[in-house]
This record gives sequence, C-alpha cells and structure tokens, in this order.
Amino acid sequence: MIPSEPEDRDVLAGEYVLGLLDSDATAEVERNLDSDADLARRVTFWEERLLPVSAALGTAEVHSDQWARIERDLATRRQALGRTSTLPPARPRPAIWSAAWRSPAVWRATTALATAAAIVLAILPNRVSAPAESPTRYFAILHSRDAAGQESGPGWLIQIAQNGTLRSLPLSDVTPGSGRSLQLWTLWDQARGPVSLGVLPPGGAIRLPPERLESIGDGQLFEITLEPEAGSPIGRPTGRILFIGRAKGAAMQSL
Amino acid sequence: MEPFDHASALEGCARGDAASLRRLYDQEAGFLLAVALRIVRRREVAADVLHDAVMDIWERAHTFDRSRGAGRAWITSIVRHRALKHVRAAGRETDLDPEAGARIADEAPDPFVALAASQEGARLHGCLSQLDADKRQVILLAYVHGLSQSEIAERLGTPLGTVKAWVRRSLIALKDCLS
Repeated sequence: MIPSEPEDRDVLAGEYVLGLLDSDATAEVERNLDSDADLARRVTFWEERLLPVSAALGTAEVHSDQWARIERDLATRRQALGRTSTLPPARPRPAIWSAAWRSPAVWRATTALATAAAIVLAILPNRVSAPAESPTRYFAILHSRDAAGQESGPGWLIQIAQNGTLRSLPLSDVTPGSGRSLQLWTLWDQARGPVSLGVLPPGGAIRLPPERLESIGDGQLFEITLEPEAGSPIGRPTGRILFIGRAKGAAMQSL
Repeated sequence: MEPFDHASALEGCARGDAASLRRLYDQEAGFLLAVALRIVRRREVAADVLHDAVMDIWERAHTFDRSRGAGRAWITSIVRHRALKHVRAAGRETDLDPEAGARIADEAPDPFVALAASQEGARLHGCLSQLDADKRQVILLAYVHGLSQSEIAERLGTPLGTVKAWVRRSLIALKDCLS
C-alpha cells in the first residue's frame, strides 16, 4: 500500500531510493511511479539530493572492451528492428513525449503483429458476443507494456467497423483503479501528435465521426494510456502507455 | 568548461541517436561504474551492471523528462537499481563474508569526508552533519554501499528495529533540512 500522508510518502520514496525496500515493496513503488506524479516527485527529490554523495566519490577505470560490447548489443537490437519496421523514418520533433512513438519498443510492437493477429482472430468469435453491425475495416492489436517500457503479448483488441463503430476488447485483466480511466489515442499526423479517440467505456463501443474514420490508415499507431477519470485534461497523453500497437486493414472477405 | 548536458544526450538517445549514447557514455561510464562497484564490490559484476544499465538507459530514454528531474540523477538511479537488484538476487552474504565486506567498505574513501570537500555537496553535508553519527552512517551505508537494513543492523551491531526507526527519523530530518 502506498501511504497517503506526505511524511510517510517521503519516507517510502527515500527508502526506495536508498534501496531499503524489499522486492515486493520496490515493485509496488515502481508500478505507481507513472500514475502517481506526487510519489515520482518525491523519489526524484531523493535521487537528486543524494547524488552529491556518489559524485564526491570519484570514478572507476572502465575496461576498454566495455563500449565494444555495448555497440554489439545495440547493433543486434537495431538489426532486429530493421527487419520489422514498415514506417518511413521519423522526422525530428521537439516534444519529448512524442519520442515514445518511435522508441525501439514501439517498433518492436509491429514484430509480433502478424502472429498476434492470427491468435486474436482465432479467439475472436468466442470473445465478442455481439458482432459489429457493419463489416470490419481495421483491427489493431495493442500489446501490453509495463512501467519499464517492456512489451509482453497482445493485451487489447481494437476493431473498427466501416460505419465508424469502434469496439475495444481487453485480452488481459485490466482495472484502471478508482478515479482513473483508460483513454484511447491514435497518431495519424506525427507533427500533431496523438489524438484522443475517447475514454474507453468498460466493454462498450465508441462511435467515430466519419472524418476520424477516414483518417485511419494501415499501420497507424494506437495506444491506451492511464488517465484521470474524465480523460486527459490537456488533450494529449499524461499517463503511461499501457497498450500500444498498429492498425491493420481487415481482409475483404467476411470471417 | 560547459557542464555536460545530460538531458540533451538522453533526448538524443530517445530519438535513436547512438552518438548521443556514446557522448553520455564517454562522460559518465567511469562515474557509473564506480557507483556500481561500491554496491556489487566485484569488478566483473560491476562491468555487467554497467552494461545492462547503459542498455536500460538507451531503451528507456524516451521516458526521461527534463522538466521532472536532472539527467545525471536519472542515469545514476538506473545503475543503482541494477546493482541493487543484483546484490539482492544473488544474496550477497553467501558470496562475500561480512568481514570482507566491512573491510572493503572501510577502505573506501569516507563518503561524508569526501562530501565535505565537494562544492555541490555542501548542503547535503550540512544536513547530514545534523544527524547523529550512527544515523548518518545508516543512510550512507545504504546509499553508497547498497546495504540492506539487516546488513546494516549486523554491521553496526544494532537491533533491526532500531535501524528501521533510524532510517525513518533520518529521512524525515533530511527532507526537512534539504527542502
């Protein structure tokens, strides 16, 4: 349990930074850092205020092989990314938050898309009780992403019908917690950044206006972030990305 | 000399610019390795920790936000958590006897003394000076050497409950002094 009293929160943040919490408590703090800005501030306070101790203790001699090893690892990761990337190179953009859209993790999300689509399509008839009233135009399989930015398997399915009905289907257990919501975003214009498609109603559908629907294309990024109950107050994501993935045009024939 | 711009280097990493990572590495590898070494105490393990931490920095750079904190503190904390994870998982007591551990900690430069000599550490030094020597020691053993509360209790010959109470009181006093 993350305490609510400021003094207790300072102590918890301090113990976390000092490394005095057990692994369960450490994991709990880390899970909360993205959604609890106040706790994150208190952690940063200790990280910055204690840093002079480390800084005063000098440096160690780094073995000359060390960088070569890092470079090898980077090359391997890039190669893996190069094989799967289908988007044009990103243009430089100033905002820091938008960097997430072209992070290596995002690119990796495309890797398993084909496999994930197969899995999801196989289970779809059992999971969706009411079929969309018009043919599916796009699917997007969003992958679960943890606080460290690591992705695991398919976590959310987005199905967009030709009449603009957007249905969302969780493939993993997700509860946003009280006072919080899950908000769906898409990115069709890199310069503009993510645009909200709305707060996801539990198990419900969102009706997209025709111009929104028309702006969706193959390979377009979708993400779900953790936001305040009424959705992000600033029109762009404020919480961490819980699910991320790309749209894929549905095959013409019906299932 | 211009101070190194950690935030810009991290933003470069977020854009996938390996040259930014190299600049950051050239600037900070020796510092980060020393941080890891004081916690894991073994050179080859510290090198592994540094490697993993640099890859973490590269992968997580997009989550860094300069408006929320300083880049150097951000990368240092990634290294510390990597090192702490290692010693907690490995069960340090089993691979290094407590006496040897104590000796290594004793032979290292005294962080409190080193802090007094550093300009940026003056404030922290002042605040740590206001703590009793035992309580100050608890904070520094945890922060610098990555000792757990039970390791600190053993080291200082103090009951675990007392160490826990000292940690709490010291943090509250430090917060007050440093704010």
